[in-house]
Amino acid sequence: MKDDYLWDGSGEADPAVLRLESVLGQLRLKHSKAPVPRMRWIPGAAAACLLAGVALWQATSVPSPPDTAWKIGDRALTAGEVVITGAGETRSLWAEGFGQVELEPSGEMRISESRSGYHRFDLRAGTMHALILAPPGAFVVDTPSSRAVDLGCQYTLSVDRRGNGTLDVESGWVAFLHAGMESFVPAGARCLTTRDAGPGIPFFRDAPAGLAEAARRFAETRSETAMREILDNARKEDALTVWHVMTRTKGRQRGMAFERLTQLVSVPAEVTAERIERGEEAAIDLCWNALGLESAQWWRGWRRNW
Amino acid sequence: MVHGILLARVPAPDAEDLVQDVFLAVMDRLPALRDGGAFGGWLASIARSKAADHMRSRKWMVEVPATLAAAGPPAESRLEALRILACIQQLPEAYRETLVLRLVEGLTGPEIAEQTGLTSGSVRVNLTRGMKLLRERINVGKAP
Repeated sequence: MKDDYLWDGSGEADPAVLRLESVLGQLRLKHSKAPVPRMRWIPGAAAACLLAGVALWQATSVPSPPDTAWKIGDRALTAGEVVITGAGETRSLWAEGFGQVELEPSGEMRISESRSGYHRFDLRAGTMHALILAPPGAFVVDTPSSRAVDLGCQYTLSVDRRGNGTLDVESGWVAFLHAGMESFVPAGARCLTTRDAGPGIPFFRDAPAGLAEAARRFAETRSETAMREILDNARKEDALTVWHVMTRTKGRQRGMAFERLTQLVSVPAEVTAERIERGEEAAIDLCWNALGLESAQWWRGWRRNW
Repeated sequence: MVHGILLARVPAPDAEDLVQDVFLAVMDRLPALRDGGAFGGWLASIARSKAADHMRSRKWMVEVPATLAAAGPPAESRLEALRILACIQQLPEAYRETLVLRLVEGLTGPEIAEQTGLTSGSVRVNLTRGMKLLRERINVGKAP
């Protein structure tokens, strides 16, 4: 059978599975702290299983490594340092086990805060690419008009000299925050940010041109015309954009966005237009769930401003 | 198996620390286990429960134990492993655990079924569907 190797290692080896085994095998538990022993009488075969497991686990114990620090080459960077790139020059920063950041030419980026488990950069100008492996919220980049909070991903962030910016997410998620507004940007999506209006409405990069342009205008002007263009141009996969429009509007406009959302995705019957227009968190939450972006569920609970 | 179940649900550095919590919980609760034959499934359920508790209690801004810098394979390779793990952790829950146990912990499908208490059929379906989704997300079928 075709998946025999995946199932029990028999048959012809699947090269893709072999490669994954080789790469992922290094994450197998090799070291841990010894458990605190507690005296207790444990009966039967279960005890034997447990004790064998604990013994094996204790035998491979090693000490914890040092804290994470950002470096360029071998030189460690400290909070307050500013990285500047000239024309044609790029700089690569990395932090062991935490992530990598590359600053493109003509860029300026300050390390505002750097401590174990939390790092904050300030991108003042230019373009940076980030690949972050740390848990959500551990890596933050401030721009003049928004804060980008990494939710476990790979992304590109650009800031022009006026302080406006563009965020393109390649994998995972990024939250774009400013003054109580939040935009959740998944892989394949883009979100603009401006000094005047903060984080915009995210849209997928392959969205119809009319929708992308309308999303830009809506974020800056909140015009109903722009909103209608978004709703009219939205495909099923643009429900993410419609959801964000819904959370940035109130009353009748919110009702219009909700109606369009129900045409694009299957919203539970208990979610009514009245509940949405009243701004009931639980109802808006159910609409989010209807987007089918399940990968976001585990982090989405930490904060809800809608 | 415990580490694999945790790794399917929590960040890699946290999984190592949580293994200890799981075994302490097991020691506390073991007298209540009536059927020794159900030990694997029982242990798996405690590990899942610990992972869920951990994620619930975790705020969006948390300390990252810097255990990723441990000695071992080159950083580049480890980065790739963590990137793939992040992809697995974004798959539907049913697929995450079986994929991690198979690809990270090196268990076979029958071993996963035996140790977790899941049926062989469920494990096989989860492995096949999970692998299909994973291939789509990371293009693993293509040349490295």
